[in-house]
Amino acid sequence: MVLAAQRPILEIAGLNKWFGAMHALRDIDLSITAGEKIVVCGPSGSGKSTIVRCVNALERYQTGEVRLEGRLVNADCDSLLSVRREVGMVFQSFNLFPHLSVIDNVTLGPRKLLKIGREEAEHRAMELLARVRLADQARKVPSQLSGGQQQRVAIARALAMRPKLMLFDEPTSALDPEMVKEVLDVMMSLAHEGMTMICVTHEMGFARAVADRIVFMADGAIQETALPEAFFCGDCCARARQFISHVMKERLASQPGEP
Amino acid sequence: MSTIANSNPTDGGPSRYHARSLVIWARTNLFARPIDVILTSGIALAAVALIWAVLPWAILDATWQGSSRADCRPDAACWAFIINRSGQFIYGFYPATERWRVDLVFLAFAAALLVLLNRRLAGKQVAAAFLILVFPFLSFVLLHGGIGGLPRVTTEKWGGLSLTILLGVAGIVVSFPIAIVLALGRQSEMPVLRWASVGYIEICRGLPLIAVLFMARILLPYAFPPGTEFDPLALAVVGIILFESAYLAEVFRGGLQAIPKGQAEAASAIGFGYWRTAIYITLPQMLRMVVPGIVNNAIALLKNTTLVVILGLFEVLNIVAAGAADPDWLGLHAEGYIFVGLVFWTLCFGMSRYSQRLERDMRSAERA
Amino acid sequence: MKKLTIVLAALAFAGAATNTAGAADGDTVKAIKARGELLCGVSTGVSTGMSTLDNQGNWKGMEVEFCRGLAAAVLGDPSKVKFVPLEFRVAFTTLQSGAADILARTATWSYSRDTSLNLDWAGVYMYDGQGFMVAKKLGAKSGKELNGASICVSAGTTSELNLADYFRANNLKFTAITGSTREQNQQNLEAGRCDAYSNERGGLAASRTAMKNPDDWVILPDVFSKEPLGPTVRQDDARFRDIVAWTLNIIVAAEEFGITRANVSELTKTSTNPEVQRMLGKSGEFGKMLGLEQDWAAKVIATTGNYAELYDRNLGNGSPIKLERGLNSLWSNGGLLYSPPFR
Repeated sequence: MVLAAQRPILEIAGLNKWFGAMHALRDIDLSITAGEKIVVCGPSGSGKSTIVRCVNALERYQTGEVRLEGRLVNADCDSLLSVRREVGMVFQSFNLFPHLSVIDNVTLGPRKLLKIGREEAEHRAMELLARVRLADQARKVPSQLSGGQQQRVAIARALAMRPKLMLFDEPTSALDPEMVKEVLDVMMSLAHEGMTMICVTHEMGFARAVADRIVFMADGAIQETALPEAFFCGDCCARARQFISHVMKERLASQPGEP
Repeated sequence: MSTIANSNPTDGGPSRYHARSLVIWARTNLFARPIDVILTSGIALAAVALIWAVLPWAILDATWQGSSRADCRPDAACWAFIINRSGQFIYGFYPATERWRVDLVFLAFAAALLVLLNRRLAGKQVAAAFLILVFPFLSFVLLHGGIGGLPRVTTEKWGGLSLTILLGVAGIVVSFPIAIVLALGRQSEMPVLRWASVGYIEICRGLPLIAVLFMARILLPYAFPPGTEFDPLALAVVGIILFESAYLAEVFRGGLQAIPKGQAEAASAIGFGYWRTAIYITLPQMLRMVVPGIVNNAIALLKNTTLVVILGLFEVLNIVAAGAADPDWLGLHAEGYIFVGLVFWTLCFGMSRYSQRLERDMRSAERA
Repeated sequence: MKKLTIVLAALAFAGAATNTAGAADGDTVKAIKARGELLCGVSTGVSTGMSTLDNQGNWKGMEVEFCRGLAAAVLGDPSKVKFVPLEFRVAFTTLQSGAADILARTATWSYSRDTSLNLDWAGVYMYDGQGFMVAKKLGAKSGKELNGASICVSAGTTSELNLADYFRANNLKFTAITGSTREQNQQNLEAGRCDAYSNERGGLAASRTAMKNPDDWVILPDVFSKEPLGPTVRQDDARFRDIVAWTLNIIVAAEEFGITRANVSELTKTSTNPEVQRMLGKSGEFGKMLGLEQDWAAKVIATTGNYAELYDRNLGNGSPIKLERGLNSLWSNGGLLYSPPFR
């Protein structure tokens, strides 16, 4: 993991969001350079998903700025659609399109938005599906696949748009334990190839192996930003330490022998 | 019940196989317990008694040919009434020499529908485009005439079963896109659009169709200079569309609400704008879900078309009723209404069975 | 939504009240001539003998023929009629609004209708009334023999009320077996669920034809209500009302003077009776007084024939209905048909 010394690809400055009266995000500042992998973790309700959803304007924020390569991102701005096409997102509940086959799910965006012809789009799609090891399921419909398979298709679908940045919103939280690994493997290989990623996850093993920075959030604010070694060796604030130990205990309890 | 599945086909050929499995089926489904035996025999006896009573009247002694009631046997059915006036019951007052035009229109419609609905046939988008864009104008030109050498046949001459089907089809087909716009509008974030959609739906849904037709017949002449002539068929179609689009819009809204929110989010995340999301993601899913609701509405609409007599149009029910009052055929209202009942039942049952098949297909495609 | 319907209905009546003057402008004849056809409101084909549809989809019946005669009078051509099928509920408002020129729709003339609807009855073409139909084998010769009988009648109609009045006035008892349609009453009578059926005699005659064996049934001579049926026009057009009234009168007068469809053209030329000459246009300028052609009356009679022919063809012995004329005979034969003189 080489940190490229470049202009930041994503800049979040002074971001504040309210859900009605509830202050969900407080003065968030975050800067990500190309090729960086950020893992956002924290207790539930801390605003981790909300931050990620603000990046591609699925949530509207009230003050502050989010800029992708200098372009402003918010729910009303003109460049919204073009920004979204460069940011890929993978959801906790997969959100595959049930009325389309796997390959149609992957090719829909490129064909309708990037105006790529059907044959070329399918060719690209098959490459991506091969990468996530699902080439043989191309003609099936999502309801015929397992959760892990569906999530991998979702990753392929997001990658089909050749995004500059990938957002993962708790991608494995809805999966049975046996399927978590196959999805994490795909995400890891993606990381190794140099994709810029923001990952909200509870998978600490993954975080330790892949992250360039770990962002710990609680109560809507970033409590701690640290390098993984530091974070996991307890060189961080008390709250974070409490969180880690809690999560680690849970993980150990549910999966003996987990790295 | 493995005995049914395992009926050995080598047991002396196909006829014995069918006979055996039939007996086994009867034994398990009709005569399993004593109460089943009683029920089955009771129902069978009642059915036989009913057929025994009705068959002579309806079929065996019935008269099938004749030119007036005098030609019919008085104590049996006089189907000569139906057969003699079948042209009128089907085509209304359409001139006999021009009826091929009506046939052509319905043939074209049936062909397009077949292509659209049958899984194995290709060219669905062409058929859909034809039905929505070309067919309405083509059918009007063909039926009304006045162009290209086709003699003019004014709309008050259209009637009978062809009018019933025309009203039903026009009602549903034209209401469809309006209902989609209304359903989407009702969910819109723009207040003007939302309130306009809600207003339209609540007003048009709140009025019974008969009231809408009454108002068209009674109110409209006052709103226009005296002597303005209103085409009753146009009034009927507009009334039906106002009414049906509101109902369909609510059916669609139910379907839209059933789509998980994540679908729109996933589409947005890829970069689809509002309309692309609607066309490629939301509407296809919604349409699959609302098939029972649409068919339900279509069946109700078909039966509601009998109300257009208020506007002076003779669709199949009222043209048969008029036929039964003709002095030559007086007293044959039973035959007439049985005929109309059969017609409606066939159409509605056909639609219902088709919709069940559609749903089955869609379910198996998603499950396999 | 019920409130909304009421509001809209109120708007409709408000519109009607303010707009009746404008609805027809008092010159129906002008409108008919401009249009080139007469708009004749009839029933939806269910009035046997009055307005029905035949196998070819042509209208036939007494009211239908009357309108054809009227078209012959005004436009010179009996085929220039457009029949507007009207359900009862919309009939009067359709006439008021101008979407029909005349109603020939078995509409009973009554005080309240005449005074409150801004409509006029231009005459009576059939004096109908309520009566009884019984099985011949019952042997009854008059309604007064029906003490204690069960009588089929349509629920909620004036027929039901008239029936109660009749029995009360004669100190007799009866049981009402109510049906909701004419067909239901016929079924009940046929099945023997009642001893007699009470309805307007025109309707009874049609029902009798509808029975399995019409000859087994007889219509008693009693007439115990008044149902004068006549053509209905708008109140504001006296000229048109006159035309309609005198069209009816000419048909009645034709029977009086022995003019028939067959002999009208000959009589126009050869008759020596001064009144016939004035009627048929050979002398005087009677057509001009109505704003019509000189031969308007001859054209009417050539279309419909005289009253006897018209009645006979549609309701009498020339039709399956075979209703005797009763009060619908000439005044000189003991009936009520009386035409003012053509002088």
